Amino acid sequence: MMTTAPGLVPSNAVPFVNGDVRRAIGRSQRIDIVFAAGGLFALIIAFGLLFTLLADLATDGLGRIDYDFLTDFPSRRPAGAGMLSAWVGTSLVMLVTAVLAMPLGVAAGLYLEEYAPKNWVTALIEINVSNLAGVPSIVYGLLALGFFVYGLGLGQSILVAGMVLALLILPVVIVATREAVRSIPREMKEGAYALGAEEWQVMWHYILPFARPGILTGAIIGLSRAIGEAAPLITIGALAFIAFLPPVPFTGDPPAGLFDWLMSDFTVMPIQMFNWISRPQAGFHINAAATGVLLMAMTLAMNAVAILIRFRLRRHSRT
Amino acid sequence: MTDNTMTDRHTLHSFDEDIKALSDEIINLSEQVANELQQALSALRAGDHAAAERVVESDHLADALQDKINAHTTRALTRQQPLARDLRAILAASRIAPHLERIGDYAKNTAKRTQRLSQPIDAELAGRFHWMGTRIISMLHRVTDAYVKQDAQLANVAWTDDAELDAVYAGLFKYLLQAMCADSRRVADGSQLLFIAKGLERAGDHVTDIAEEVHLMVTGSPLSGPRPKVDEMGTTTSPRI
Amino acid sequence: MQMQNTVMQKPVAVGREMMNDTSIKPENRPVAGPDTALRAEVRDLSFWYGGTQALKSVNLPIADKKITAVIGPSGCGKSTLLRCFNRMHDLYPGNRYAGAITLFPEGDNIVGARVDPVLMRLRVGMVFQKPNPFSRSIYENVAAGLYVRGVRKRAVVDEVVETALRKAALWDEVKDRLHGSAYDLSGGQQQRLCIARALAPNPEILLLDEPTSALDPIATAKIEELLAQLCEGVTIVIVTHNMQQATRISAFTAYMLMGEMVEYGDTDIVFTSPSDKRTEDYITGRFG
Repeated sequence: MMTTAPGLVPSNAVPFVNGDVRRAIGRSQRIDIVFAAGGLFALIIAFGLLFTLLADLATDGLGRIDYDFLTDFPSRRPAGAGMLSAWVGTSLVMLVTAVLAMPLGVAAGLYLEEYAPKNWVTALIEINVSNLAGVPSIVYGLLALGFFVYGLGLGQSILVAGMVLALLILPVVIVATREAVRSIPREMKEGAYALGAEEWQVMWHYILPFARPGILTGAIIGLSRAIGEAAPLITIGALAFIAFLPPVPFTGDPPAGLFDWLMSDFTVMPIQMFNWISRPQAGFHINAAATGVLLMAMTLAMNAVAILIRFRLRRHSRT
Repeated sequence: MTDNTMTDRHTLHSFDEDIKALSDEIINLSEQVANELQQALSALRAGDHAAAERVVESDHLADALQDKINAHTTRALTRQQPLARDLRAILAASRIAPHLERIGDYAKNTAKRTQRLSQPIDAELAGRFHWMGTRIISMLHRVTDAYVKQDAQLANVAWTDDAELDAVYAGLFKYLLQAMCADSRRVADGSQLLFIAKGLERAGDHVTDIAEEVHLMVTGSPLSGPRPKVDEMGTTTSPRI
Repeated sequence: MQMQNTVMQKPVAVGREMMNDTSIKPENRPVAGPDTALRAEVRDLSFWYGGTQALKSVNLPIADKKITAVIGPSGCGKSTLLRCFNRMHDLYPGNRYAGAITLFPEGDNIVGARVDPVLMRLRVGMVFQKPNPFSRSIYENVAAGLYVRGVRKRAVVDEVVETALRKAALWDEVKDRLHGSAYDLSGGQQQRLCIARALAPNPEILLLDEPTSALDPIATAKIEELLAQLCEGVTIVIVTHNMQQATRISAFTAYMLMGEMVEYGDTDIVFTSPSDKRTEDYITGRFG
């Protein structure tokens, strides 16, 4: 680059002169560094807090987890208390939630995205789906108590728990479905239609397979939120001291015997945790921490499964 | 492009330049050979061997110009991938150049044969040759004009002018034959003059060829219809094949 | 606009009828030659995207078993016109057709209001600008059109797939990896795969929307060669930006500008001595 004495360059000329450009670049670089540092600092604080929490939980609870803890029912004595009924209850409730939320959510999402006419009714529905995601979970509990437990007479059962949690995560599944379907490249859809495919053929053979990873991911994220919900389940009457297990699903004489587990009383892990934390004995607090660790592990496992599914399915349908 | 007006200039500047360059070179070549003809015929009339020699030496310029035109048409076709009237213009330039160069050759041959004459020509012959020469040069100017102005009508006129030229050539041919029959000492010079006359007549044909190329370039279709030809014996023949 | 859905003319000498049709203004009457057999005919076709009119009374004969090229500047409506042939516009709301695209010999109007677009798409295939193979194996891509029509018998599908891949000059390159992913192919091969896919169900008309604009010159040349051979069996309509391509492969060329059909004729004539100044300005690069 040329260097010229400052006086020789007219003041309205483009600053192609060494000094000005270097100064400007230097200033930008300093701002870059400040931003990067600030972001890193914030990240450290956030993650630091998170990891501290988890570490604390783990140190308290990890030692408590053993075979007995996992297979014992709760008891009045901390040492003898186990979370068998809690994690069985969580698993069964999650099963019902998934079975209810997935088909409903995916179908609703598909309808809204592909079939619904673009009018004000549809727009209204779309807005409200997003709103539903923000409704406090305890309100869902109240709804379930009034309508499902008493109104429909379904009692304080796994079925109702599944239904209320399904309602809770329905918006998540719907939105995930819509996003996944929307992300399909136009050319792929047009290519399928250009071959003379009917709408349902395009939907079933092309759109759904493509949207599968996104939908599954959304569903699992919804489920991992549901797994930790205590408020709505407390509201519908999940008990905390359950010294029995629901009947094993799908055994027993059909037809009623297959599904009687749905009507059983139950408890779930968050409620068990809450119950133990409320007790004065330190032993119960450790139990609560241990349950927390397990809950975290289950959540992380579900997220890992989501990532794995997404990875495998994306590999098969590279875009 | 927001501007939808149909301009006559190409969007690509180099395209305009290529076409203009070719056009200028054709004009230069045309002037060069017109000059050669002019000077060859003056040399013939005056019996000036030195002037004739100068014409012979200057013909290489015409050849060089034709080579240049060839190179430039190739380049224009490669670079611009022309279509429609641009394509016709560039192809026309490549086809007109050889005709012009041949006219230059006939001028050179006229000058060469002038040097072989044993004596200057008489006034009668001088007059006839002068007429033919002037006519050819004016035809050449007219077709060059037609080429520059892209005027098919002008080209047509040059086409029909050639018929008159042929008629004068036929008359000149007869005159020379009679002169040679009358006096056998004049046969040597007479044959040279016959060749010169034939050369001029051929030069006129080349000018009409150029006229046909100009017409094709401007209208996209060939000049139709038979061009009447009158041969040496005065008979009108069927259309050129 | 009257809809023609009764059996009508044979695809012979229909060019003459269009020439003599007094309902079209003489200057708008595109002439395909009185004895050119037509596979389809676009008559007074207009099209609106919502409130904007994108096609204005377009008239265009489509010669049978020949390649017709449609050229024009960006935004002139050539892709819009092409997508009317297989009712692609129906996929998006707010679009409206007026006029007719008549398929011979049955005389069905492709854009008729009471015509099922899916039925029309079964007869008209399309290849897009960017190669868009499905995320499946090569075999399944080519067979997709058959599956959609309910043809599943292994022997039949195998044969059709092989024929289509041979026609698309791709068979030798992929016969050993028919069940490999379509994405493993190069860009040019993927586009030929898309052509095979469109050909497998034996369409009457093949539409190509700038099929080589995303490809390198060698892949482009291969596809042009392929198209030249294909048109013995199927009528082809191709939209292209590349005028040299239009001159190389098409028998007839149509020039469009701002939604209107400006000129139509033999490719040789349109590109050497076009009759409309607008056409000449476009092809010689004087446009704009």
